This record gives sequence, structure tokens and C-alpha cells, in this order.
Amino acid sequence: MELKIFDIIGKRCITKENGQRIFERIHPVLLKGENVTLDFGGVEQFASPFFNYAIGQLFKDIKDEDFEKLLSIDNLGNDGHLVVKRVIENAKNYHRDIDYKKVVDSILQQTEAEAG
Amino acid sequence: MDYLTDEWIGRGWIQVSNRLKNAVVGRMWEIYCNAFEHAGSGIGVFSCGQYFPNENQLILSVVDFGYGIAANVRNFLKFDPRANQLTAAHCLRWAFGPGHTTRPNGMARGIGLDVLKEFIKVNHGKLEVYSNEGCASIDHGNEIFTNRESFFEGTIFHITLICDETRYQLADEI
Repeated sequence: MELKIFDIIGKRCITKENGQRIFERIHPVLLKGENVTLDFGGVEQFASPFFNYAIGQLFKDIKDEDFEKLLSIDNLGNDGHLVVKRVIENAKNYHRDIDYKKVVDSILQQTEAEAG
Repeated sequence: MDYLTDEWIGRGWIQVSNRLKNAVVGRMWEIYCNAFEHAGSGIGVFSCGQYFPNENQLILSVVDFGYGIAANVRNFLKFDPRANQLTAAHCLRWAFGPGHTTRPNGMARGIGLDVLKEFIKVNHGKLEVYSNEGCASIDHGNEIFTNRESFFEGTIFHITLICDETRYQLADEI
């Protein structure tokens, strides 16, 4: 499957709603093990909400190696690459269950490190 | 965003390339999104800006009169009794961390401020955030988070951007 994102979304890939539209088209195809190419030619503006929904949530049930093998993202441009790189890194490190104690520990440890 | 792109930044009064203009609009969306989703600002979100042609600098500000970042972070972490001890400075620092969000929804998110911070550094610009009793000052070389004497119930993002394309080089271009 190849999707020309500009034809579907337009020049602005920024909202979570539009990201979800892309996700719903590519997710079932990737789950079947088939290739998907997202062509961002003509897209000019990028923001993380769009990509969190379009591709970040793919990592919930698609393995990292399948993501790399099956999904191609073309013609992003440098600004798009910056956003997508961050989204993918973040999605790979995502843990669903929040350990509130651990978060507070890390903040307070940083406080102590700076005070020391 | 059409207005910001075509009628404000793009109306010909600012010396900025299309590439930089579009990157700025993308980053502004990150701020607006955060404000509308997190702030709880009953009277909305306000935005203004000024271009300084002699310095070729664009300053953009976004203000909301909502809960504030520190209040949101402390509330998010309230299941740990130590949450109320967290200073505004440290709540702000945490908020800028990748993957950190006070509105988890079962999916990876929380990188908008991190993306904004990266852009500011690449642009050699400056970002100042004032929220509750906290202040963040971020530029190419520094990230400083401090506590202030005064309190602001809401959040101000104040961004200074350099409109010089030669200053805007992403890491993979260098």
C-alpha cells in the first residue's frame, strides 16, 4: 500500500484526528505483514500529535523489527524527520503503567543531585 | 493555523524562508495543543507576536489563564503523597522531558515540549516559560528551571526566534 498523505490530509499534518485517519488505514495492512509506504511529498507542516496517532501507536502491537521492515516514510523533509524521530523513540520507550512513585523519586533525586 | 501561516508570518513583513515559517507554525501548534488540552483556561488561549527587523528576530507569545504546569504535574502525581513537595521548577523540568504527560491516554505521547525545545536550540533562539511560581529559560546552550517569588495562575510561553535560515540547521544537515 502506498499513501500520498498530501492527497488525504493536505499540507498540514498536525492534528491527532488526522493522524488517527492514517493509522486506521495502515494498521490492518501492517498487521497482515504487508508493506506500507507513506509519501509526505507536498506536506509542509508537521507536529507530534499527528504522528503520535498515525505511527506512534503502531508500536502497541507491531514489533520494532516489523515496523522497520514493513513501513517506509518518504519525502518528510528535515522538519518532519525531527518530529518523526522523536515520536518513534518515545513510542519504543513507552510503558503503559505509570509508576507515580518512580516519577516522584526521579524528580526528587534530581533535586538532591543539583543541591549536592 | 492558516492565519498564522499565510496572513501573519507569511504576509511578507518578515524575512523568513518557507521552510522556517512552516517549522515555526508546526511548533506553535505544539504549544496551542498543550494549552487547549491541559490548561483548563476558562477564557481561552491568547497569542501575539512582534517582528524586530533590525535583529531579524520574531517573538511569539502564547498565554493561558488555566491551572499552570506545576499545578497540573502535582495533581497528576497526587497518588504519591510527596507530590505537594515538588517545586514548580522541578515540575517544569519534568514537563519538558520526552514522554512526560499529565494526560495519559494509553498511548505514547508527551513530546510536544521536547520537540519545541529541540527546535529552539537548533534555531539558536530562546524559550521562556512562566507558569505558577516556576520559570524555564531554554536556549542553545542552557536549560534553566527556577522558582520565582511571584505566582502566575496560568502559563506564558515566550519564544524568540532568529529568522536567519543559516542559523536554522538541523542536526542531520550539519
